[in-house]
Amino acid sequence: MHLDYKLSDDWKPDAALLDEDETTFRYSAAPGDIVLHGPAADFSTEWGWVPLVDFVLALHDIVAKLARGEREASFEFTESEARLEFLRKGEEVHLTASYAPGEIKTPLSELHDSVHRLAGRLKKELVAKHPALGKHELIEELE
Amino acid sequence: MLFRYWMLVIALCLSGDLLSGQTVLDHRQQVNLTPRAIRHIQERHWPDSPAPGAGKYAPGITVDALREMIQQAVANGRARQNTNGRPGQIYEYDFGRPIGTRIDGGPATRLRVVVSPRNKVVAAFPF
Repeated sequence: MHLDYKLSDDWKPDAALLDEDETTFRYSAAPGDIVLHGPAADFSTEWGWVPLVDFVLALHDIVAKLARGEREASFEFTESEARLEFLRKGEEVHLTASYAPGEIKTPLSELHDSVHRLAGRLKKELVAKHPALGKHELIEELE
Repeated sequence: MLFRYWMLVIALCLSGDLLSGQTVLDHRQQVNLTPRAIRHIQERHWPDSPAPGAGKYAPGITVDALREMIQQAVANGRARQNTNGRPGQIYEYDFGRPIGTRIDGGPATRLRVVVSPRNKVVAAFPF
């Protein structure tokens, strides 16, 4: 499984966004696309608006739920009915998408590590491009 | 004595539920559609928005009509907690007629409204 992101080049955080509530920040900050594919499926988006900080925080939440023993978890995209479904089968997680065919299978430990690497890369890029974001508590949470 | 005590506990629990319900009703009447939220919605969901992969409102939508639809959805729609650790509430309401298009291009009859804990509309789109 390959998990990555593409941050929109033209996005610049306005100062007021940093003072907005958490929900508004999550739905607006760092739009772009997710890159998510495996040997038998490609769930990457080409939409340009997927809020990437929110995506990473949501994946953290999903991985934690699966690690606690929950069998299923869903990721709801913020601006459409599209979803990613996560089904735990033993030590594996099976991913499906409402907007693309196929299935991606990955060990839960690999999903966990991929999400953490993704979070680290996103934080590094965001803070490098927009230093003011480094003080935001949700950006600080990206590890 | 013990029976009275438990009756009192049950009565307090029931009144708590009723009060909670009233709070939800009050919350539903006070959502705020800010200029930021309007921009957010227009950029992604307006009929002429180029954003792919997002539901679109039908041609002819206006900000006033949007405000009215959001009000209707929040007042009458199914409410649920926001997902994936996102704070706030989601309201979904089926208008029973096309209000736009889904991401697959088919007609959308439902509206999803996302409201923050500060009662601000964050997103609203047809699906």
